[in-house]
Amino acid sequence: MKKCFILFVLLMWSGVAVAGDYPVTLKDGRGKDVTLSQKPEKVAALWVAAADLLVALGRPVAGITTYEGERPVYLGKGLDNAKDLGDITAPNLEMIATTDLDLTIGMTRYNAVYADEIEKSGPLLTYDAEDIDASLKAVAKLGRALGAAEQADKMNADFLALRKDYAAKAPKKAKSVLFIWSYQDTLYGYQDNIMTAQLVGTVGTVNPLGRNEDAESPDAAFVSLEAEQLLALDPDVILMFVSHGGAVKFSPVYERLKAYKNNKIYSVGYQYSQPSGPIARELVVREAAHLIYPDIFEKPFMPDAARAKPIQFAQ
Amino acid sequence: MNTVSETGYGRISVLIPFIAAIGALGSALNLATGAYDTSLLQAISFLIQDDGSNAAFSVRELRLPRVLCAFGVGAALALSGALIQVITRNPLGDPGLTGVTGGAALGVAVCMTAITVSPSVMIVFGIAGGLMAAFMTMLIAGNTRNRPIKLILAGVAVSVFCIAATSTLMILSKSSLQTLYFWMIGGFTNRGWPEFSLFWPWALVGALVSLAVCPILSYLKFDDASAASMGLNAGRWRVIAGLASVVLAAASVAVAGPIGFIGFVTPHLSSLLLGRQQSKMGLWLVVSALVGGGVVAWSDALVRLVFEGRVPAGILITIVGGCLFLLMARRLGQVAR
Amino acid sequence: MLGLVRWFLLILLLVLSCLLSLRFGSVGTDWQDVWRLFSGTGGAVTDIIREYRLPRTAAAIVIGVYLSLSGLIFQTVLRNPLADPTLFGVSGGASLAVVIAMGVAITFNPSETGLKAASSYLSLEWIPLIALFGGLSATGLIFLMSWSRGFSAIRLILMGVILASVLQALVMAMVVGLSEARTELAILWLAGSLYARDFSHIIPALPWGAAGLLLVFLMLPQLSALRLDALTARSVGVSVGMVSPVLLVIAACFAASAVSIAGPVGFVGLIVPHISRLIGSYQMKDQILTNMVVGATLVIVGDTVGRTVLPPLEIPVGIVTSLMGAPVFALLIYIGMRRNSYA
Repeated sequence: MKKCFILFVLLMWSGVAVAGDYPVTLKDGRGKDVTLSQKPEKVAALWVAAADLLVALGRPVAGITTYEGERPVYLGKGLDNAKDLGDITAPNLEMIATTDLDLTIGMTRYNAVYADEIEKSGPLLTYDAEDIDASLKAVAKLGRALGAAEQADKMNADFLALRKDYAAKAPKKAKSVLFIWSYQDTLYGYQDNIMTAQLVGTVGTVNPLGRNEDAESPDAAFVSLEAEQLLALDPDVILMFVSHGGAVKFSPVYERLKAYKNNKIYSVGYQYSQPSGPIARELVVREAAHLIYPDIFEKPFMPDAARAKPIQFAQ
Repeated sequence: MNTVSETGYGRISVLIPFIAAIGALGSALNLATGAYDTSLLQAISFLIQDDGSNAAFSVRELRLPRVLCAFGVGAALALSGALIQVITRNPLGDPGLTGVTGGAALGVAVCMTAITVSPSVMIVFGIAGGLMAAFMTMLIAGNTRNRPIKLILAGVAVSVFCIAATSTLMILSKSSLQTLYFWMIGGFTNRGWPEFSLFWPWALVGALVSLAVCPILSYLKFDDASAASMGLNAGRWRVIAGLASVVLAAASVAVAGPIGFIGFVTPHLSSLLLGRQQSKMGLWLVVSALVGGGVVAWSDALVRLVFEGRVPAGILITIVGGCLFLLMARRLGQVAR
Repeated sequence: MLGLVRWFLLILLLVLSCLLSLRFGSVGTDWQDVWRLFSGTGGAVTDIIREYRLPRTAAAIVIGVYLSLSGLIFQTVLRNPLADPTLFGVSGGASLAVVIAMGVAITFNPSETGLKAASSYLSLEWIPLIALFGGLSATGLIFLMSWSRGFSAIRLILMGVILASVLQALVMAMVVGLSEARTELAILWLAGSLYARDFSHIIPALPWGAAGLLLVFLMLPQLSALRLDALTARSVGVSVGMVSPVLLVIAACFAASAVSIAGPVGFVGLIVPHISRLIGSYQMKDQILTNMVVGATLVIVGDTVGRTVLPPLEIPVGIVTSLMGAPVFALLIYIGMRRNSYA
């Protein structure tokens, strides 16, 4: 009830924001009211989802941060002119300042602590979106900030329609699908609170790890997996994001897994690790659906570098 | 005189099986915990007979190597610490404090970022790094007789440098420092037969060498003059025992990451347990290894049972070992002065 | 006359390193932009120097002064040239306290909404106090552990080094174990970084340092006397037992204040007093002043190097000083061994 009320207030208030173009005032993830006096043209993205939205809107991305030196390749040519602003946890402040920005969009999780420093070179908005609801809200708000409220709302509506459509087309007999984030010996299985697992589950698949009801926030809803747990869960399909790239450590356990026998273990692209942007979330839904039910769902159109590949194991 | 040694032997004949049993219990407990529900007896019966089920596969192929790694790494680190304490005549010897683990970590990091992630190459780099660091520490500290603190200080200098160099390397190779921290804590998650098969030859060689030199070690414990009077070249044996200790520590680090303070704590624990019999070098080394293996096996089992594997075993060991270290250091520090 | 020349050179070096740290960074600026900062005719580029580089330079000066003074006091009071706040567990205690506080702040403010996420981080004003508490607790613990019918300087160092290594391990364990999903920021802080440091970070740590500096100058005669052995010190009327603990607490305050600004920056306290002994005169007052200048210069240079070598990435100043300091430390131990004078 209380949640409904908050949602109602939010909708009302965002409606007001749409009505009067600029100046526009938004409450961001820090709980801070940020006022933009005119439509921002030069925008830097310290958050992948923001770069994603800019590319989706056909707008230039002035600068972008990297994760372990990697850019989000799934955005393809949209980032060709974006300046490298350094590591995602500690973006280079001097370079942000020299980019002469109208707006910087960051992550609350990393950038809120030194928000004051970034704000010296212009307005800053920070959001986090670790589940689908948060992604919808963040995209809507950022759309307002960028003066593209209608387009952003349409993206959200299209995305919801896409999910509905895919869910309807999915076969009745559900497969079990597990998403894993891996670094060498460490395998984290995502539970249903996290956006990636929610997106993968669009086509009615079962996440063998279920939902974590005790998690204080979505980003705590993961399980550190031992090889044996993998065997006990034995999912039909495994989607794995390999954070250091390259080959994955082999374990004899894989040979016993259904997914391995059926060649259904995939190494997936960067968009699965940071799926909150409008392009990423759509790609993840489309590609995961195709990987899980190739007969029903078509191969999506996307840059080849970002496409899922059959996993390779190190010998 | 006779009665004393008799009671001593009586104590040992109870003590060793007792320690071994505790270690075995921890390992068995570890062997019986996992995603598949198996009782202790079932787990052991799976070891004897493979019925082809997933549970049997888990016990034989996943849990057994992990348990062996845990016990082996604990025993190897304990032996390594004991050897360092003897050859440097320094009660504060520990592979971490003498820079060996830092050096091994640097070696592994160099290999990981610049060459390959293949475990067999990584272990060689780990050992090379450990050897280099040990050599540096010895060079800096020189003769540390009666001056245990100098060895510790030299070790600190080497390990701080190695950690800083490792951090720089990680930044230059654009890996996050978080990864480094994760690795620096150490644990046994998803370690299997490949790791163990790389680990055991090095560990076995180290253990055999240390047992083979242990009659000589008991002379080295006192002073070089008495060793020389027995016709021994003290320096040469010290180098051999030192090499064994570095190989033991570095192989452990390459498998499990640097696990703190086990090498310091367990030799002293076994001295306490042995009481008067601690002067018997071989016995002391064996008991140290058993205690070390048991402690790590238990920690890994507890981490799994209590924290459901969300916390690496290295954290528990480091916290408990660090506190014990502080308690003991106070006593030993006064002796050392 | 010689003294004047030396001072002139020292100050010149400090000013030069300040100017270099203002001139070089991850984006290209030239001397004219630096000049405009002082002449007040700034443009956009000068704003970068003023907003980002100037505070960092100021922070580096403060940290350098604090850490080198802390090291000097430790070395003088303990009569041991190897004493250093980082090796002595003070920085470790301060770090552990701050990391625990970060963990507690996150645990008690789960980030269910964005608003809470922002407030779940520690507020800046508290960090110096928490660091101070941690640093002083560690110092107290070292004293407690080394007490055995009096304090021996060597036992103090031994316990300090051991406590430092235990604390270091505990900090790592806390970082990985306590807040598994939100470790990146703690790690950045623990590497000893001046990233995104502003005057608002420096100011809370200034009163502690000013009070400490005042006390140090008030206790100058006692500090000079402590360089002699305890018996001689006593004969000139300095009660070693009374003065030493007070001075060590001051030194711990300096170190903890430095940690509260940048996290643990290693080895500055160790090497700077040696450099200033090499170039300074025997007078304690001279040594303290030389120490402050050299310490500031060293940290400025370390930070400048760290942020210019690999833009847009940065190597934290703590890692740079450790890389420079560890070999010097090793050399000191080696020389000490040859002379058989220390430790």
